[in-house]
Amino acid sequence: MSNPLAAGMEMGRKAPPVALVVFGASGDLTSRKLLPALAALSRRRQLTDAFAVVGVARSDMDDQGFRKMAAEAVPDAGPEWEELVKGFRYVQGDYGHPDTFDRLHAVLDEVDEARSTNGNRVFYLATVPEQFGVVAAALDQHGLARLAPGHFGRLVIEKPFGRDPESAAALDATIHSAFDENSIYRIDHYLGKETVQNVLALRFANAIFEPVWNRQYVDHVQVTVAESLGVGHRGGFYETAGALRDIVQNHVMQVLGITLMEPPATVDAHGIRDEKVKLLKAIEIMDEDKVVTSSVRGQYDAGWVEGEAVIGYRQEQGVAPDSTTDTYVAMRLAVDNWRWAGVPIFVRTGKRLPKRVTEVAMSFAKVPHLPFASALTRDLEANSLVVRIQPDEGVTVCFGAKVPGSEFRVRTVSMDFSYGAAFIEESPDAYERLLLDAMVGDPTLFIRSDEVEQAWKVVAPVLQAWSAEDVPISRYAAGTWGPRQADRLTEAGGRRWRRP
Amino acid sequence: MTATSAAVPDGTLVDSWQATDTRFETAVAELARMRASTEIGATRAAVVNLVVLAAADAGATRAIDSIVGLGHQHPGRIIVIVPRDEAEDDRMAARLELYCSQVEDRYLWWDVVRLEIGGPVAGHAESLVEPLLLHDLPVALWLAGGTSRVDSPGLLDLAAQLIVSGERAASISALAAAEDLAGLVRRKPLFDLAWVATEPARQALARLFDAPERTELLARTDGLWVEGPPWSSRLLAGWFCERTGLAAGSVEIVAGDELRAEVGLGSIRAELEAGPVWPAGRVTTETPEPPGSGPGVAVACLGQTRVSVSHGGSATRRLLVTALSRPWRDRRYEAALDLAGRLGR
Repeated sequence: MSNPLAAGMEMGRKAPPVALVVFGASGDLTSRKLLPALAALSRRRQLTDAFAVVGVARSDMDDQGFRKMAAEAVPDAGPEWEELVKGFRYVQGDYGHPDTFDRLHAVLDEVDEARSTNGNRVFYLATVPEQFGVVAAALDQHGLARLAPGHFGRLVIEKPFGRDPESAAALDATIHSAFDENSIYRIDHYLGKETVQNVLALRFANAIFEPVWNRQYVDHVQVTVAESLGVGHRGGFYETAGALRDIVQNHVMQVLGITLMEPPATVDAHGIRDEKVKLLKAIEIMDEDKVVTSSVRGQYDAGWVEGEAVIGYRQEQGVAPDSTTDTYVAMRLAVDNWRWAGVPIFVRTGKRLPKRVTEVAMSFAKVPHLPFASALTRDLEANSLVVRIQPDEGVTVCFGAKVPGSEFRVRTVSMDFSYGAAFIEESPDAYERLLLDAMVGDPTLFIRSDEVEQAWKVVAPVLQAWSAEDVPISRYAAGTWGPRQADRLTEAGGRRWRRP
Repeated sequence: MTATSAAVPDGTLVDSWQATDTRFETAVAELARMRASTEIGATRAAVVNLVVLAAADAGATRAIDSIVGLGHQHPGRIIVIVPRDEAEDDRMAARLELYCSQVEDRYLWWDVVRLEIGGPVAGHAESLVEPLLLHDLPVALWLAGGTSRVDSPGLLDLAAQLIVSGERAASISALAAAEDLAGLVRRKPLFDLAWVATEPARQALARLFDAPERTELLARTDGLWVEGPPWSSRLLAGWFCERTGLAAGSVEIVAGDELRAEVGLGSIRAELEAGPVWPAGRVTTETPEPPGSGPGVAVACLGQTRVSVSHGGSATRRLLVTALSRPWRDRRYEAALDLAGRLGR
């Protein structure tokens, strides 16, 4: 029975009674992202008393140690957090050992009793991907995955979802043997960012943008995911991944999906994810020749970034001195559907680029005729609409405006809308939003199995051609916008890469 | 951090932050904080990035101080890089300023980022500038510290337009300055403040000879005498020679005002000699009369016709406002530059 007193009131979203089980609880992701997100949810009163965290990891720690770690991860979080942390539990053990899960089962029963979490569980796998299948299978074997009606058990995993189509399918098969697809929440934290969600509002809550959001008006699209950092201490991992797997297969594909998809009938999990999949299916699968002409892979050398001298990729810790791992990718994609046929989609991502920025830029076609003296419009660029995803989330529109004066001179003006300055309300962090969604049971901003599969279909031929050395690795100095070879992708059509 | 509210020409300083020994990311974070302040509003219009590669001397500092209000005409971001003399000192000093001006019921916002840098990073200033640029807007690079040596060549690649003070460049050698400037012209559209300083004089001269009977006289000019700031005078003469075909050997340049710390044209006087064709013999440019009628140039011919062209505002800022309005190649300037280094007898 629903609460009659709550009828007609905006109660805000709150997590239901639930125990959040974090595998990899002693790791970096937990301290840096998950615990601060939980503290923020607690501060916003979106967690009830019927909530608990159970940490699981190999590290030698007890309940007190985990509570201390949680408190230290979010200093000055306030009394609500301190109170919440008192109920945190910790299970030390190897994920491959059945005893670990027996003890976890027992602890969860105690938590249900102590915190009234009602037998509901969200299992967050903040572990290395190799453990995803192991943990999922163990949870199933110990009766923790498929729960009785009236209770829920959900599995949250982070990318990478495999390292090629085959391993992704194998991973899916393993976790599907333990959890139903609608209980699996695949996180791409980009989708938790306010600005990515704001693309939906921009496109589908306004009448002025959608009519020009098509091949008739858009000349080309550019997606940039630039990082100023290098691989740091993740050199070993990065050697097995590379920029194409690490960024393009997931973040870039998701951003493209949201930006270019057809309007969904409803903004819910089915509506949005169905349309994203349709869009991903419309992306042209490149053959080997196309990969050669439409992709560039690069690797950074030493250089200067944000005022610091930095070493080259091959000098980074854990990286082979003759490594050919891609730290930069640029591609020209085509979307073969009625809306986008013939519109080049340029994507690029890289490490050690001049600045950290993620954006989607729609570059519009030039006007068919400029009725002004050409000398007076020399510095007029085509219109563009830029959605900045990070940092300083916002939207910029660039258009021509008359320069005040007696001459009819026209120049480009940028009108910048800052999301942070527009709303006093603090935007929730991506993890905060996604953790709450997983607990509430809203999978809209999570990736479905068929999206993963389709994204791999786009990326796999590129990986294959690269592994056959069909596309040589190009060098670029750290602090530049990538190798010069990337320019040929855009210049072929008389276009050029933006400077974000 | 210090928040202030001080008036500057055409703008009010609404927020500022400074540190004498800081990290770049700290300055960037402070800049984002200033942008996100509710005072500035959610939307902001901008038209340009002006990057100033400055010198540490007092003259350059005064010139830079004078352009802070430039954002009123060209809202955007002004980034001033001051390489420090002490080559080994790699500390970074930063000062951030946010300005606002009100035009009727509209508000214009712009910010000024000053970074003082030393050590090896001084040779890679582009790595600091690039993350600060407002995207999608042109980058104008003012080589306020001189043209002969740019420590950070990468800065030139960032720029869509270069701005220089030819007067400053030519203070040692006109020939060397001409070579430096020609080298820069080959790379990017270049705007020489000394050139635009001659614009009122060029306009006045052009108007004076607008009538067909006077246009004919131009071809019979056999001498030109120019007195004024050295480089502006050369450019004016170079322009005249290139336009009329007057031989470079028929030009006399007389250094007039000493080069002033503030960039710009003080006064310039040119006389054209045409022998028997012009009994009175001279065309002169001069400051308009009566005194106090405002800055400008007046030209008189044969003691009869006067043409006046006015310009306004303080020299450096006025010239920069003009420069930022014309971010393209100026073929007339390039032709004048070609001759300017070789003029004089």
